[in-house]
Amino acid sequence: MDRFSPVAAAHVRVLVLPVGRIERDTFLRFVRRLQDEAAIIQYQDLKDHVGDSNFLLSPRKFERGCLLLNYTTSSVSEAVLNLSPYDIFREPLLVVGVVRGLGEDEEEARKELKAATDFLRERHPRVVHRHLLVLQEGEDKGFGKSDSAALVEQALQSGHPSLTNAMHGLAIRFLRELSTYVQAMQASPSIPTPGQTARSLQRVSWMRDADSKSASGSGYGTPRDVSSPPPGEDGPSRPPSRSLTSPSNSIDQNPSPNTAAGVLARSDSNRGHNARASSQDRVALQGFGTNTSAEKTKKRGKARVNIVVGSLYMMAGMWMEALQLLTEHTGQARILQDHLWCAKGLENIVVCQLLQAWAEIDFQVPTLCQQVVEKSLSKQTAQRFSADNPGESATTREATLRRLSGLLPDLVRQIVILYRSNEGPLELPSLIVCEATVRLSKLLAMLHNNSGTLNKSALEQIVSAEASDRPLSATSPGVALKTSTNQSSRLLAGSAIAEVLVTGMPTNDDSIAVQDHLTILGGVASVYSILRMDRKKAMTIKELVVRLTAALNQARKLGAAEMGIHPAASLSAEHGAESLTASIKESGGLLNMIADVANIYGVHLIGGSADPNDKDSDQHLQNTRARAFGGEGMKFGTLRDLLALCEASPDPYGILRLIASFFASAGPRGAVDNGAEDGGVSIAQDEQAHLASTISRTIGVSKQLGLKGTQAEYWDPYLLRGITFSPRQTAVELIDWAKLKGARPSTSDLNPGNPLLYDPNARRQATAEQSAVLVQGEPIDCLLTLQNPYEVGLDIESIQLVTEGAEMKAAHGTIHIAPAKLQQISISVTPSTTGKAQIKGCRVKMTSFREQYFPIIRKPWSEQRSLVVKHLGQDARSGDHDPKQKLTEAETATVTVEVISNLPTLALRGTSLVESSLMLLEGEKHTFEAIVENTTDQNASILDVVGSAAGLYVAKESVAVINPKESAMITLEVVGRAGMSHLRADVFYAGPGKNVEFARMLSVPITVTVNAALQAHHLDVSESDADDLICVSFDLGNAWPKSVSFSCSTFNSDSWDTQYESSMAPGEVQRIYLKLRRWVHETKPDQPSPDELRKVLLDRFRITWSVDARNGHVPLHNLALPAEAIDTLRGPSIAVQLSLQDKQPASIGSFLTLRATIRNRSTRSAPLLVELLPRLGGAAPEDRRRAVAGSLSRFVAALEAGESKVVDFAFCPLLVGRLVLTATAREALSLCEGEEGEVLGESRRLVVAVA
Amino acid sequence: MSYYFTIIGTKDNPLFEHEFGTSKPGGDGTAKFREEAAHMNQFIVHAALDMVEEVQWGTKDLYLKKVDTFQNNHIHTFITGGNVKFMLLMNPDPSATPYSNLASPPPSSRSSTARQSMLLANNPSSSQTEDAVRGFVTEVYEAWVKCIMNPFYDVNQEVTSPIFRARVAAAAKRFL
Repeated sequence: MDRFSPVAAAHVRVLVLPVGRIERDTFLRFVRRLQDEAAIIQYQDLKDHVGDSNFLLSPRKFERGCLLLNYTTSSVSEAVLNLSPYDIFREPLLVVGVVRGLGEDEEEARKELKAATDFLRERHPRVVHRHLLVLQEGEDKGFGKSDSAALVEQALQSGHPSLTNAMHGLAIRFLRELSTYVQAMQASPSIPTPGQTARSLQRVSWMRDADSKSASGSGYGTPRDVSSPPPGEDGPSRPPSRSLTSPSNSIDQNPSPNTAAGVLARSDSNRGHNARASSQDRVALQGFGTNTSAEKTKKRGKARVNIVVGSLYMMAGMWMEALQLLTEHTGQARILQDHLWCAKGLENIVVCQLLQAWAEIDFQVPTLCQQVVEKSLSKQTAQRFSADNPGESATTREATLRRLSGLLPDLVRQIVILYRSNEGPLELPSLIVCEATVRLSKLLAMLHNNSGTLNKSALEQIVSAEASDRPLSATSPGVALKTSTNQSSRLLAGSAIAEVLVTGMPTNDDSIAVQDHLTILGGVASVYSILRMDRKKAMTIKELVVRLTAALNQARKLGAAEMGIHPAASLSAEHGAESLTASIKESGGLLNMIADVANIYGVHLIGGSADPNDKDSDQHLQNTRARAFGGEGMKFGTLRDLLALCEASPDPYGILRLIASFFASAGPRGAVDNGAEDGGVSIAQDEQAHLASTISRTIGVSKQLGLKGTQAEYWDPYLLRGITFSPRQTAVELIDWAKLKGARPSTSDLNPGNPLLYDPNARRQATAEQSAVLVQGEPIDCLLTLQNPYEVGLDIESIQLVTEGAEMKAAHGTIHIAPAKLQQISISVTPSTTGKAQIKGCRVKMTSFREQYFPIIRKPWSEQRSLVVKHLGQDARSGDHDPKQKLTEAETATVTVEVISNLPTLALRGTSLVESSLMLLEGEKHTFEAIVENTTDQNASILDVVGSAAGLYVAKESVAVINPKESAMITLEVVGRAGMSHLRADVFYAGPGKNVEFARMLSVPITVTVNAALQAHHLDVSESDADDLICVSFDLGNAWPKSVSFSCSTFNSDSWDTQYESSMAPGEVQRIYLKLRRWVHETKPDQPSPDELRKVLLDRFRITWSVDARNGHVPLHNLALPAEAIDTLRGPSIAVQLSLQDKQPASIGSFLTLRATIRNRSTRSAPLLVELLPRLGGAAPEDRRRAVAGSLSRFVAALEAGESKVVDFAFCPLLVGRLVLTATAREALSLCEGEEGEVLGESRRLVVAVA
Repeated sequence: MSYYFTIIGTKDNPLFEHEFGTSKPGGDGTAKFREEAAHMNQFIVHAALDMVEEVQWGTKDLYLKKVDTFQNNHIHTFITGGNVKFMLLMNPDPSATPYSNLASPPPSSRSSTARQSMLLANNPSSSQTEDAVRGFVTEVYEAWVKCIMNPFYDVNQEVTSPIFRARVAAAAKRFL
């Protein structure tokens, strides 16, 4: 039962004790059953059990009543017992011993019962009644039943009627005994008030404060200061002033000496030791007698006794009688200015009324209540109450309830004030006052929550403390206040109730035991919770936590000192794993409380719920949103306090959760930038280190104890900042073969001409599309960029990539992430399936953290500040979700990969060359083999072999496919050329199959040293005598220090003819002339090109050499063709051939027929002028030395391409000698007047001898 | 009398904090809070927000007067139209405040306290105090409005402007 229930005073405290041998578990379950099933015993059900006997508290007298039982298993301390007749509900009046399984034998069973009864009697001599409950598993054997013992069958089966039956019998026995007790009580003349003399300064200040509040009108009606007595009040009935400075003038209390003996006329406990005698003596001695009036004392004593009796009646369920008795004697106490008892009486009157209202019994609100209230109120308010009074005819019960609820706010305040009043130098112990304040303010809070009316649900809540979780928003405090402005509802406002409540907070001076202090704080927090004052509640709980921590630490220190060990070691020494887990299980509520408090201050506790497999979602990214709630200082302060509690309790799970949350709220809450200097962690470095070491220590200890699942949640969801693949080694590098061969259009072809001159996105797009290509079953190094903004290093135990589409296995060694870094780590990843895949993130298991999923957050990100205010107060914890303002979340990235099927790998096992190096003479050819092994179990087909230089190539007969695990030889040829040194033959290969997309390359490196042998220089081409031949000449020098024999050959239409053979001494240079057949038959302007001409020319002759065992060709490729040689090679556009038709020597005077054959070699056609130019002895012969028939020049019509024409000249030499003739063809049409046309062709000189 | 003035945003987040003492005769303008008060004042003011939320709907005024008391701390509140709360915590004798209740306050020399109470009108519930606080918060409100008109100021952003701080200090000196 709630200790702070408003009706706690009506509950009978029942102490349930295990007697004899009984298992802890059985006992606890039985107690729970009692609490569930037998907390309320209706008198209606007792009717049959009562029998005919009549006694004072017989249930027959009031069948609608009931007995409220409060079962506890803990006995109360002596100090609390001392409060008893005043707060009689604190004392256990009933003791129930639970015995399990009596012996088989009847005699033995009787003995056992006797022993148990004696045990109880000895231990608890003062209680009203002791009863034994015998738990019987089997059938009822009949024995064991007695007056003070009852059998319970099926003790652990809930709902079994035997328990109720047993309890009914018990209740009747108890009521009988209680009747006796009440009668004894009535006989005592007076009862002393428990009290203490000290009074704290705070309370004085509060009192003063409260006074001024009431003066300003919004407070509750407190009695005025001494200096300003309320008008219209008579002196004696004025409540006492509560300030130290003005001691009550109405104190004349002098407890009579005989009170000490009086109270304890107990029914059957007289023989017991009178434990309280001493305390009563103490109280009795405090009295000071001035003008003692015996009459007054007697009256007061009577009133007190009867208030206690009334309370007992109330506890016994006789509410009507109780109310009557209480009203009468409380009024008496009030008149006698016995304020503390008046307070007690009034509270019990309220409780009686509440209970009757709850049991739906008609009752009248005693006028006393009204009088108490009215006295403190102004007249018109008082009239309001009296105006309420008449006129309710239809439902008197409702009217009564309305009156009661209207009175309650004022009445409660009055009671609280009365509780705080003093009796001479005496005031109530703070425990009573504080608890009463909390109880009463709880009543007000519940009333407040039900909009100030005592309806059924409100009463249910008040009596049975079932928190009705109806939507609280229905009665928002603002609305309630606006609609009602009268005094009582203003007093019912949350703030007014909180003001009452705060007086119930115990202070240090109050000297309350720690556990009571904590309980009271808990009660205060629960009232704040009812009032929905979360922040006040949080602060109260925070104080509770601080105190609890201190108490726990103190207890541990004492315990450790007793055991003689260091306090730090007590965790492992005291607790086994089972007891720890059990205590943690029981403290589930504690964790909830911690989470609740943290949440109020704006800390979202991470972890805890421990979703077993967080489905690789980005959920926890969202959790980090909307953290901009609350102040940082408060967050950290709260977390530190809560952490201290968890460490003291000890609760490893709580510690881990809190530390993780601590880091999370202190961190930068985002993906940090590389350039950020401090990363934005708001707790100091040494505190971070301390927290981190606490984590590892906690986990270490819990492992040692055998606790399972102690793993923290890692606090930074932005851990993974990027994934890239490191380039492979060249031996296994992938080559996009299709792209290399141009089969697949490159990306640049797809996006032709970007219209923008500068497009900043052009490059980015290209990189985004790129996807890494992995090979199935082949490990590749994957580089993960991890952020760690904290000053705490992390150890990674395992990392697995989370992919969509393909499976990948990751392997790695130990990884340590240094503090405050963006660090790149390398893991080895092996894909096991093929196809396109996307890497979304990683599952990372760090030491002492549970395995978690981290998405890739590539770009720096931090939470955006919300620009709108949508929620008020604590509602803003959920964050402002404004649809108009999109709060961007951290952008998760993916890495696209393509996994291709297995590719073979070739390895170079060696070459046939010695140390892969070679000396060649220039032009020398050498053949060698590279030995290549297929190291995989897959055929490797060689696609191509490419030499790095022109002189290196593969021999035609080389292998094409290499079988798995086999070696093959690739034959390569190299021709020595000047400048060769390091050569590489690249062998491209792929797996079997036609559509090769990706290939691999194996490089065969060789070193070649090339020395010069024969060298050709100074190429020249000239006309030769013959028309269809040209003459090629060059210098051939021997650079080799030995004599070299060589032979020159030319290409003659289809075969090579050796033209010249010789040998050269070292250093010798020869000019070689070779005749080549002209191959250009047609000419076009600039055609063929000089390069082409040169190439063909160099192909048409070769020089082979040999020296010792070496032979080779002289490299001609570097011979340059002189410019004039080009024209020679091309030939004229018109070929002119001059021939003599007659026989030689010609005789003087005879006509010679000279025939010029002209042929158009070009595609151009134009009319030509063909001229015959005779020369004699170097000069043009004069006309008299020759005779010409006709003219020496002729016009020829334009010739088609390739067309030939013959022009005959008749010429007669008139002198003896040698006549030299040439014929030219020139353009007949010249562009400019007076100029001759361009010479297009000229014949060879024709020499004619004239005799 | 020591004062702790803070501005609380809509998310219970402190936007501005300033501690000062009374500048009336006998005070030197510095706060005499104990060490733990720096921490506790935040919590006390935070708890008072519950009371502000109760009281704010019951009045048309922005100035809510005294809303809460914790031990001998008294909290006056002014609420702006934007639900930003100006909370002024005043403590006549910080050395007598037990705060966490755990560690008893160090034995304070009563005489100095007494002297303070003699010299200052430090009754936090007196009407003079209410008026002084009203003057103070009104002046701060003026400065606040100017401060939030800064285009670079976002809602619920901490105020770091030294000018604003100077204005608050000046207002404190003038009224409190």
